[in-house]
Amino acid sequence: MFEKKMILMFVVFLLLTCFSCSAFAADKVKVNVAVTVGPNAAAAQAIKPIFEVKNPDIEVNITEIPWTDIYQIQLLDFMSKKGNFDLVMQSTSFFGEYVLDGFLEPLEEYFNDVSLIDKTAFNLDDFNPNVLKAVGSYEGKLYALPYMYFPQIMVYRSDLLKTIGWKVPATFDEYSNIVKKFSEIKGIYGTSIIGIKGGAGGNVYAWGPYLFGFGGYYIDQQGKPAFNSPEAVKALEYYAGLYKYSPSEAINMGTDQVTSAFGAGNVGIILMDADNAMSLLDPKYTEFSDKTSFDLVPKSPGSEAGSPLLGAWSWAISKFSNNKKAAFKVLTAFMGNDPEIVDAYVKNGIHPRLSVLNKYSSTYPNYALVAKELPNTKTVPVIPNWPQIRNPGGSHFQSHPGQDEPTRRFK
Amino acid sequence: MYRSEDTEPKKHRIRHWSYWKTGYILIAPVLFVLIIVNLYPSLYQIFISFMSYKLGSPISSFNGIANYQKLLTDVRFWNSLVITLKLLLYTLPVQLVLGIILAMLLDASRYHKYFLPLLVLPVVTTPVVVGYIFQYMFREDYGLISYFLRLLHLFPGYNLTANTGTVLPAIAMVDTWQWTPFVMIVLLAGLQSLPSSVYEAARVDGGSWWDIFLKITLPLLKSQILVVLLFRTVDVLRIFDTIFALTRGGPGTGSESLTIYLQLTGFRFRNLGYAGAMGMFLLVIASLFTTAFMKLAKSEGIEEEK
Amino acid sequence: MRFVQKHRQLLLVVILSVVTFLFLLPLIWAFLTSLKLHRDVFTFPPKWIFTPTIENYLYVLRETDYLKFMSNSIVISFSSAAMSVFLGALAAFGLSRFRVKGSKTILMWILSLRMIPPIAIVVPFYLMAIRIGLYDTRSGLAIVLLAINVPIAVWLQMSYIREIPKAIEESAMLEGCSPIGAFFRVVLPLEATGLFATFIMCLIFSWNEFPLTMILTGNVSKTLPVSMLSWDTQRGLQWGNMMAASMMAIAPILIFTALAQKYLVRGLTLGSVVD
Repeated sequence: MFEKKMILMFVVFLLLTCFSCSAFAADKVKVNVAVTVGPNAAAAQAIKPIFEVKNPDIEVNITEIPWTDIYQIQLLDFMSKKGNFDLVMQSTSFFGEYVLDGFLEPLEEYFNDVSLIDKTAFNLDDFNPNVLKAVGSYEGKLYALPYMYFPQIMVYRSDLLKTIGWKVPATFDEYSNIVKKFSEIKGIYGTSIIGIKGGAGGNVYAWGPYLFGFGGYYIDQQGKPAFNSPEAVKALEYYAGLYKYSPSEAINMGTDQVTSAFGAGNVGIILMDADNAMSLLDPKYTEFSDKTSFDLVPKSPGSEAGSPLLGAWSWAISKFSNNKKAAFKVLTAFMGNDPEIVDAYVKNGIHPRLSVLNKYSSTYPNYALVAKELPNTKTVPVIPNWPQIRNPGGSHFQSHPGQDEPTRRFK
Repeated sequence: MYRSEDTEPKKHRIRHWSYWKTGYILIAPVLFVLIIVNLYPSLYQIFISFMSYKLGSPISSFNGIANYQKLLTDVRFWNSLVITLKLLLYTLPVQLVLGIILAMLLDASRYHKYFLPLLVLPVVTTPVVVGYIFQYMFREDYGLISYFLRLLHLFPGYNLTANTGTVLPAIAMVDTWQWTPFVMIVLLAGLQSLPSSVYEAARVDGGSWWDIFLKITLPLLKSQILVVLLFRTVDVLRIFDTIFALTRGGPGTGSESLTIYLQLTGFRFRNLGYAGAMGMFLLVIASLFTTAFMKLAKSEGIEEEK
Repeated sequence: MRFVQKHRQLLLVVILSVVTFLFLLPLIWAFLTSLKLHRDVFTFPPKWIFTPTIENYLYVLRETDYLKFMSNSIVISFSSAAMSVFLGALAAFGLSRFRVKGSKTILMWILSLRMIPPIAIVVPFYLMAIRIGLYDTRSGLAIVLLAINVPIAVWLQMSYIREIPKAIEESAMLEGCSPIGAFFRVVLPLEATGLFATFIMCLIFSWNEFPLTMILTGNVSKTLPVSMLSWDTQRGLQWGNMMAASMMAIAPILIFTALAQKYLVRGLTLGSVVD
């Protein structure tokens, strides 16, 4: 009889555990979207209420994930085949991998479905063709739509520039001189490099404009990594040289942290992704918003203009999604023509469509710069083994500047 | 060490068949759980480690010992092993010495029960949170640690986690902060169980304080010290949370411990087979250390279990 | 002589106060930061005196899914701890009072669970969870955490059961109780302290667990420690918010510890060191 009691207790405990997995009923279609924390999420959060009013049958559920973890979290979700995320976000650096492994849904048939989209209103030509190729399509098939661009622009403190009485740097030589000069001001780091390992948001991407400025590229014509080419070495040395004038923790900082270090008023001049830079104009984000100015990235000695790295985040429908059609509606609406949505979007980031970019050039300084920069931009190589090249590369030069000790601000 | 006592009941009347059966019934549920959460995963782990298995695709093919061969030639793996061993080297002695000193101070004080509850707080603080708190405290311009170091003119004042030379001592420091109280409370428990008559006898014999410490206190604390060493060793071998929150293995691979590299390999580079082999390696090291300590405890004739 | 003795105690109190302060400093500092406005955080030298605000706490509660993560943490760690205590009590009783073949091996096997790094077997756990459909569910995680809790539960409770004189249950059995009846009627009530101590220890360990939880939870069953990751971003340097989230994440643990401080030594060493 006590055996019975024991079994009963065991069952009760098991039941207790089972109750904990709560089931929730939903009458609306719920579309779960993954976005990276930062401008991407800010734009999505701003558009969500507008979209839900216009599409009362769809509920958008936004999950914000740090860029450092989004690859792994989405990958684990794909593996589970549960389709917890209907829309997944990828940067140029792992888009190819997702496609090759069959995690993404081809978009073509959805675009052909007239019940889902007004083709005249949503024009794919309005996206920069290079970006559409780099983060949207693989071998001619469309899998994703660019969600946000992030080519680098130069961000500097105009009040400090006025103090030292110099003009805005146009070449990398002038840039490093200004950095040196700024670091002599008490309480200011000349610049901050981005040292953390990684693609979008990390050192491999942030190094791009320096690398291109010195005439190098990530891979050579045979598709082999070219981190040892003379141009790349020069660019790396230049980049490592800047670490001396950066906060020492810059070695572990990504674009997010560098943006907020600038926002805290500690940093003089940086090259920063245009989408992140936008928050520096927000008086709620930083008290230095009216002292922050933008300009084009410095140009290399021989060339006409600087060339930033055109990184972009794109959105795609997960192969395992249970609400693919609703997801497609969300996808196209968020980057669509609706003036209200566009208006909410442009306050938070760099819109992926050319017409919008041009239209808001007069309103937002970084829009004007991105529009001007676009012809000169380069993207990262779209090759399947890019992640395998990227990570060791990232480690390699995270440790490279780590050996130089930064000159200290407090002596 | 568990030494099975003679559990045979002396009363003959209750030694009937169902009595024998009961023991097995009682441990059956735990055995069942062990099979699910330990035996099966371990066997599976061994299986995976011989496979070429990429996360996201089905198990492709038998790989022989290729994954293990790769371990031998992978520079990054050996680097991570060295880092893990270095962490052991940096943390254990410091924590032991500090722990003994603190335990003796507490033992000598009449008011130790007021300090103990506060001193043990670091031990139970969530390690990830510890990582983030220290990331904040290590900051160069507004971090508390950098500020103190600068006041003391001890260091140039940069972020200790930002330099390959100082990142491991910095992590060891965080670990020491968190786990010295553990060493302390265990040793304190040992100290308080020592009979005071031993000390009095020694004092009458005229031994100096140091003599008493070396010849009486330490030998009597041996079992507690072994317990502490065992637990600290296995915990340092599996340190993950703190490093993950603090540096993610950076700068470069400067703080990439075995566990961090394993996570990276499996879930970033998606090479589950290789990560499995690495996991097996980690298992072997951990069990080697454990067995060594157990052997030591046995040879010293110590019964851990009272 | 008595004067010197008195003096010595005073000196010890001073030294110990300093040491305690140093050990608590990071926690105190984090707490102070959580009460700071954004502009008070980025100052050099660090500010000790400022106008406190609870804005950071409000922000965390309002703008993030903090309460969801909290409830996940509570449900997962409580159910896992409860299961472990129950299973552990049975096994501990069986192993310490009955002759079981290979009991030594079983005990060492259980102990080895405490010794192996969880990350070393995270890969099979992950694949299993996906196959059975327990990935990203609270029950799945509660079961996996048994791997962490069972060694504590069994070894710790064994040390408590051994302290109970065998004669008590034997007399109960002579009065006609079955062995399991004796366990429920006599041993369990006598072992109440052990049950409580074990429960608290399991709770602490499951609450703090990170590597397994990080891999095995997605969006639905994310726990507090894992949710801390999402602060490491652009908002992450809003240290005030982050520290407010941290403080709330460790507050329950600190309360558990306050309840169980007496049992901590024994719990952390799996019963091998008795206070």
